[in-house]
Amino acid sequence: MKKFFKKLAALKPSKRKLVQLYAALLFNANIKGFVTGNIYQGQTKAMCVPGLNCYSCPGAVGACPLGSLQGSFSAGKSTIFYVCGILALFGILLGRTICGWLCPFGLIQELLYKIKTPKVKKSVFTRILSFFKYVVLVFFVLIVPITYAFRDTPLPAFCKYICPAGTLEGGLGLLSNKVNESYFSMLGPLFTWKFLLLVTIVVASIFIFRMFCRFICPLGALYGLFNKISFFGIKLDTQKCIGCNKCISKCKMDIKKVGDAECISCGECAGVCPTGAISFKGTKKIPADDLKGNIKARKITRIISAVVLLGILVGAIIYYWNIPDASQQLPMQETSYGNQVGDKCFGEDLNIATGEEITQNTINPIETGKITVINFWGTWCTPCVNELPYFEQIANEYKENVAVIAIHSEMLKETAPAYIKEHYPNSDLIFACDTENAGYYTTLGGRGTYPYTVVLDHEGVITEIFFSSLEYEDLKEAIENIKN
Amino acid sequence: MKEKHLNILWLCFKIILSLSIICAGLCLIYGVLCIYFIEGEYSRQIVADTFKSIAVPVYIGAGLSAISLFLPLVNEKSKTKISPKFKLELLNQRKDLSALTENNKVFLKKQQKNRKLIQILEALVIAVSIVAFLIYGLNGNNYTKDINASVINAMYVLLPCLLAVFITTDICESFKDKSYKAETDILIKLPSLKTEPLKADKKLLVIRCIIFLAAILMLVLGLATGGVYDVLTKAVNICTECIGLG
Repeated sequence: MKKFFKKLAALKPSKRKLVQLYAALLFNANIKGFVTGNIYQGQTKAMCVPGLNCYSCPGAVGACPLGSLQGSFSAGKSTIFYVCGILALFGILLGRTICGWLCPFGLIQELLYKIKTPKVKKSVFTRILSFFKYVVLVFFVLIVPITYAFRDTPLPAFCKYICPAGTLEGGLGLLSNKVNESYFSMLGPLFTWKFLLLVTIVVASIFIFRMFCRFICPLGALYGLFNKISFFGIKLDTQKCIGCNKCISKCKMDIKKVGDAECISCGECAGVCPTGAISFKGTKKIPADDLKGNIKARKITRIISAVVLLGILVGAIIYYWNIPDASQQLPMQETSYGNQVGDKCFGEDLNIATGEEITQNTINPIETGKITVINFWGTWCTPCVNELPYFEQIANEYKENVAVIAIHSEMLKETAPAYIKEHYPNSDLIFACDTENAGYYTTLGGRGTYPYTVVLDHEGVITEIFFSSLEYEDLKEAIENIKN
Repeated sequence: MKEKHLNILWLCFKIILSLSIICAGLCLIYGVLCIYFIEGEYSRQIVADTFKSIAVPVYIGAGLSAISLFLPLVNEKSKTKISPKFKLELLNQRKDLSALTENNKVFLKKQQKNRKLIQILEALVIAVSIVAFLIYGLNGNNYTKDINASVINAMYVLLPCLLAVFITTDICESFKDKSYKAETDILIKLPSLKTEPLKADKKLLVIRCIIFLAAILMLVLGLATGGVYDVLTKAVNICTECIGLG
C-alpha cells in the first residue's frame, strides 16, 4: 500500500504545471462560451495574453498576440505600435519563460508527452530543425501579412495555414457545439489541411517533447530573441559551472547552453546542477540555516498566495459567466425578427456611407421592394474583402431588381470609409452602417463570424443564408432562384 | 517477477501503445480525407457516420494513453552531450592558457582558422538562400488575388532554400564540433586558474532598460492613437477563414 501511495505521489503535478493550468484557465475563463457556443465579445479582448491562445476560442477572454500582430499590419501604425509594444514588454519581462510557464498550447503538448511511449531524443537534427520556427516567423507572420497589407487585403497567413491552437481551440471549439451546426457547411480544403496538421502535431507531441514549440512556433521564436536579456528567466553562473553536462542532458529542449534562445526556463536543470550554478534571475540560493527559520513563514505565504490566485480565477469565471451575451443586450431582440430561412423580416433604417462620410441618407432594406442581398463584411477580414467585387458585379448586373447592401462591422471607424473611397468610389453597391451594437447583424442570425450574407426576397422573407465566403455563381444562383 | 521481465513487459506495452496512437492518428487523417474526397461535403451527420467506422482504433489509442499516465514512472536518461562550443568557452575562462606549448598554440590557431572558414561558407549559403527568398517574398507581383496559390508558389521557393540551409548547416556543424573537441582535448590538460565571483553586467542592464522603456513608449503611443480598437474588433469577431474553417 505504501508503495502505491509513493507511486501516486510521483504523479503529483509540479508547481510549474499548476501555474500552466492556472494560466490556461485564466486565459479561457469564459466557461460560458463553451456552453453557448459563442465567443466572448467584451472589453478585455483588447488586451493580448502572453501565450498562444486563439481569440476565436469560445472561452478566450483576451486576444492572441500573434493574431493581433498579423492583423495590425493592415490596420495601421497605431495598432502596430500597440501590439509590438505589448510583445516587446512581454519579451523583455519574461522572455521564453512565457512558453514554459504560461502558454496553454505548451501545457497541452506537455500533457501529451506524459503518455508513456518511447520518446524521440534531441539530436543535431532536432537542433537544426529548431531554426525552422524563425522561417515561419519571417514568412508567415511578417512577409506575407505585410505584402498583402500593402494590397489592402488583410491576410494572417500563420493563423490561416498553420496555427494548430486556432484549429483546436477556435475551429473545433466552435464546431463541437451543436448551436454552430451551420458552420459545417463552410468546411472545405482549408479545414482538411489544418485538421490534418493538428492531428500530426498532436500525435508527434506524444513522441517528441513540445514538438510545435521547438520547431514551428513563431511566438516562441520571437520571445527567444529576448531570452538572454529578459528580466526574468534562468541564468547560469559560469564561474560556478564545472561543465558536467547534467543540465544539458536533463533539458528536453534544443538548448546549447542554459538560458539561450531555446531555453523555456522550466527550471528542471537547476534541480540537477551539482554546484548550484543555475538559478532564476533575481533570486539567490538561500542558505539551509536561513531556510529552517523561514519554513513557517514560507508556508503561510504559499497558502495566502494560493488562496488569492484561486480567488482571482474563480472570480474571473463567475464574472464572465454572468455577463449577458451580446445578442441579449440588443434592443431589437424583442422584435419578431426572423433569423432563419423562411422567416419574414422587417427592416429598420440604415445610414448610408458614401466613402467620404456617413451621410444622413438612409435605406430600409425591406422597403426597397427589390430582392435584397445583405452582406456583412469588415476591412480586417480577408474573405470579406476578396468577395466584395462579386457583390459589386451582382449590383451592376441586376440594377433594376436587386439591392445589394454591404454593411461594415465597424463603419464608424475611419479605415472603412477610406477603403470604400479608394476601391469603390462610384459603385452600385450600397455601403451602410449597422445599427448600434451590430443590431442588424445579430438579429439576422449573425453569430460573430464574418463574412455573413443574407438574401431576402421582395417581401423580406429570408431565402438563403451564407456563413462562408461566396463566389459570383453562388450569388447569381440565389437571386435567380428567387426570380424563378 | 524479475525486474528484467518487468522491463520487457513495460517495453512491449510502450510499443503497443505507440502503434495504437499512430494507428489512431492515421485513422483520424483517413476519416477527414474520406469526408473531403468521397462524401464531398461536411455536415454534422456525415462526420458522425464517418467517425463511427474509425471509432474503435481511436478509442483504443486514447484508452491506452490514459492508462499509461497512471503507470509507474521510468527514469530515462538522455544521452545528449554538452555543446562542445560551450565546453570550450568554459575551459577558456578557467584554464591557464599561458601554459600552452608552441606546437599546441599553432594547432589551436589552425583549428580556429578552419572554423572561421567553415563559418564563412555556412554564412554564405544562408545569406544567398535568405536573399533569394527575400527577393521572391518581398516582390508584391508574386502575390496574386488567388491567395492560396500565391502562398503555395512561395513555398516552392522557400522549401529548396530551407533544404540547402539545413544540409549546409548540418555538415558545417559536425565539422565545427570536431574542431571544438580537438581544441578541448588540449585545453583540458592545462592547469586551472583561480575563479572570481561574477560581477553584475551593467551593459545588459542598460539594454534591458532601453528595451523596456521603448516597449512602454510604443504601448502608450498605440493606446493613445486608438490602436487598441483594431485589436478589439479583430478579437470579438470571427474571421472563419482566418481560423481555418473555410
